[in-house]
Amino acid sequence: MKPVVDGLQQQYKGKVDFRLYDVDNGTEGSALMQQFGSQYVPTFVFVNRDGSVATQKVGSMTSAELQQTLDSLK
Amino acid sequence: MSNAASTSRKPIPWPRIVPWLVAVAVLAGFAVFLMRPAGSTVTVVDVKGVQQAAAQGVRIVDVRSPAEFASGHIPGAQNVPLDSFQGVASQWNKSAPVLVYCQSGSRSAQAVKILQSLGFQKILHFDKGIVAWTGQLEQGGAATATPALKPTATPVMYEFFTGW
Repeated sequence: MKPVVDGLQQQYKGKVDFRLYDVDNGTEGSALMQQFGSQYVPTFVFVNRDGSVATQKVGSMTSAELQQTLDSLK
Repeated sequence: MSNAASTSRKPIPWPRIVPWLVAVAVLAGFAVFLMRPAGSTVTVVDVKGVQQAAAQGVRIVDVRSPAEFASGHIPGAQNVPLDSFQGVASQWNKSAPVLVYCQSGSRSAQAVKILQSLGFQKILHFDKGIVAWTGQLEQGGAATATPALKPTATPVMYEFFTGW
């Protein structure tokens, strides 16, 4: 997952803010993840500018799926 | 090598053992059959049934998309879109009842199948969907599952992962 996400992070620089949390390191990530109601990794949460959650996805995503979702964010 | 025949071990008395093996296998099979999760019961409910379930504190799950959910949902429902339903539902207590609904009943029917496969014992299905809902609607994004998120300059993608 990491290489895909790292690549997209570059590609979407300035367009989508990537906040990546390693839930094994530090409690901030796992606390936030619990707030999103997920206990599984990887979990992706896509949030629009207005703070609304567009999609929440549990399980790995392909680069194409990620891009499609990222492009759909408002 | 050549004196294998001289070992003092008695030959296994297959003719006597086989019936016992068969009996053990049958009993084990029967035990597994008895111990399998009690079959799930799926109860189709109407608006009144949903209201009763809500009053009893049953988990009510809207399996539509976050956008559909935000545009109006049954008060107290939580939003778990069908595409992430299996992963999320597998974390829930399987002996507690779960009520699912969607727009008109097709996605929730899939959710019911997922719940059955996960071994949920009591499944309530509001199969007519939100279109048939005559009660109050609650609006707003994924209320129960998400923290209050502040508007940001750019959209945000959160990824939660573990190192491997």
